Amino acid sequence: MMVKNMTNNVIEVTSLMKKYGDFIAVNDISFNIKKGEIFAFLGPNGAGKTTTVEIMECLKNLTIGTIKILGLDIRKNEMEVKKKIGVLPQDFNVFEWLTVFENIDYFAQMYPAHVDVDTLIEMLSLTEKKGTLFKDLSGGLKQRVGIAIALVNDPEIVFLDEPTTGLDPKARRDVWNAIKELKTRGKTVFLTTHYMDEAHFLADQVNVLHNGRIIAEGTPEDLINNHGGGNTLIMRKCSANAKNEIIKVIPDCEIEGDDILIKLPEEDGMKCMSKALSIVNRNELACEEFYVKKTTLEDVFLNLTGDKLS
Amino acid sequence: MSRITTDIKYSFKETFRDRMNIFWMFIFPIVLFLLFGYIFGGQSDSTTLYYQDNDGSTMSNTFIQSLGSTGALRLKDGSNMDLEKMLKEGKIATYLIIPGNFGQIIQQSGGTSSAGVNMYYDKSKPTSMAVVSVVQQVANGFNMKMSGAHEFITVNSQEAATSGMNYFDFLLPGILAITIMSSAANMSVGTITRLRSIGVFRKLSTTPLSSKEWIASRIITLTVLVILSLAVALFLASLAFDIHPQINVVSLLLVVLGTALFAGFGILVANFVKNEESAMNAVGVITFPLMFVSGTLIPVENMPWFLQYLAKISPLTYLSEGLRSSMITGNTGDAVTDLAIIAVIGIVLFGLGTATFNWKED
Ligand SMILES: Nc1ncnc2c1ncn2[C@@H]1O[C@H](COP(=O)(O)OP(=O)(O)OP(=O)(O)O)[C@@H](O)[C@H]1O
Ligand SMILES: [Mg+2]
Repeated sequence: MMVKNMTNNVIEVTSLMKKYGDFIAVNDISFNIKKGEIFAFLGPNGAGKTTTVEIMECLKNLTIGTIKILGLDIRKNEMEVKKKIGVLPQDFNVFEWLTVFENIDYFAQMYPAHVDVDTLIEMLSLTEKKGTLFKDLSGGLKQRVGIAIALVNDPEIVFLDEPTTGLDPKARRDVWNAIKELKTRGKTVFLTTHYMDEAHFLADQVNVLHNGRIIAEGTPEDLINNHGGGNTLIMRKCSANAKNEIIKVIPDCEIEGDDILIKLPEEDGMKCMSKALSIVNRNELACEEFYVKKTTLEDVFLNLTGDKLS
Repeated sequence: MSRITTDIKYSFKETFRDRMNIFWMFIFPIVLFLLFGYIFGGQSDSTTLYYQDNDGSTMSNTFIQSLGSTGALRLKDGSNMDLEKMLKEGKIATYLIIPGNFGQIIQQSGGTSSAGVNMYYDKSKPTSMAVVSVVQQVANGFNMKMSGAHEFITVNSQEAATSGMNYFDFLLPGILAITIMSSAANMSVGTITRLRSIGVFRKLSTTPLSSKEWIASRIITLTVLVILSLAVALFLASLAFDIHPQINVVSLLLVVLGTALFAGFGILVANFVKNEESAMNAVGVITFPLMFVSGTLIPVENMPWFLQYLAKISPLTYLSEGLRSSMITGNTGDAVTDLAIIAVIGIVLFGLGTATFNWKED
């Protein structure tokens, strides 16, 4: 394991295990989160994301392991921890017959110290919806109210469990911007998601979770470089003799219909690419289009598990 | 402390915004009261005139026939009935007694002395006065026909000493008890299962608010709401039916402890039946029959013996009878006994309910 600067860690999870009856939902996971970073748990349905987050939020009991939040053992300092964290639970809901303002105010009053409700409403661009009943809000607005409520106590750490699941692209963007904004305010964000683009766009650190275990960790770029299997050169709509020539020179290429897919090795991807192109050039073969497809976290996941993410 | 006051403030707001709550808490008891009042109180249909003809002469017969021919009354022969008792119990509104010497007096005196008929009526029945005046008019008509103006049939009308209750008096505390039961049980089981299933508890449990504080706040809100809805029902009953129940410490304690009892029951069910609909149904399956077997709508004595056993084990029986004794009949001794029973069951159920309530998941 990498040696981390201990004073910088706001969350330290060590050998965490959670059993529901005999079923092991989270299996011996450990990770640290540094102050000010956006940390993402990426994994498919049932991976154990919510279970882990809810244990950190003191909502569920752990079976084995220790969790320290801001240096406090969560089992011994539940109340202290609750005052310092903000939470957006999965499938977030609050009081349906209260307005946006009233709901935020309700939760603000639950804390001994809280931020001004109107300031929060402005920060999340909810001013126009201030007087709307929660039950009448769209999904994206509900999530934004949820983020506002997660911030009422000016928490040092914010937990967001699948903040954009089920939202349309515009609403997702809005929520993403709100999350980026948290980072600029110096908050540490713990995020769970099963969207790789979300993890890629937002996260500084990603842990890939599968069947209750962490199967990979690092920055999005690291993960792609280490587990993505490299970029792929794609040559589309090639003639038959083009395909024949290329397969002679680069035997491990893949032919899909009239398309040729060439995996680019990390070390000499450029060399491989120019080799393919020169064959086409030299023999005046016909291919309509060339491009390089970058690997995504989706590929990382596929490579690690043989499963699709979502 | 401010956590509890905040929850109280906003739970009131929520309750009053949802029209369904207003219906169940404020309109439903009144509907129930009117509905059952007129269905079961129908025996005391106040345009029916019961009579006992102790004379049996042609004179008295003619008089009764003229009463019938007005079309304004339904006449019922009450010869073998204890009309006095029925009036006292509120089962009938009016009755007429024709004394045995009625015909004799008229005939013998040749119209010089007058014969009286006796009308008894319950003035709390809205149309009983109308019946009295119909009888009066028929008597006048008789007088005119027979002698010009001389009054030889007189109507002695007497307001009966209705210390006994009429059906609406009986029904009112029953309806209050039903309101307490259904509001307390349904609101508590409904609120808990709903907030749990849509995830509000998950959110609340990450805040410093504890589940005990939340329950405390909600029971305060509920008690105030129940008292408000009872006050509205009482106010309307006093306007429309001229019923003026006494409000005293015993009746107030019955309301508060009765609320705790049925709220405790609702909380208990919600703690063990996690699904919202199943929990609501479980509460309904128990409270619905209790409405009918607990001496709320029909006196326990009038029910078949096997239902009387059910009434004995139904807490609602003690609540409604306690309220009846303390508010209507003024029978404080009985009311205190009922209060003690409600207090014991209430403390047990509410204690169990709150002790097993927790929103932290496993
Ligand atoms: N209360 C519970 N009792 C029993 N099993 C549970 C419970 N909660 C979760 N599980 C199981 O534990 C596993 C992990 O669930 P969890 O909710 O943590 O997954 P997740 O990664 O959040 O998935 P999703 O993306 O669907 O939210 C699943 O197999 C789930 O069925
Ligand atoms: Mg989840």
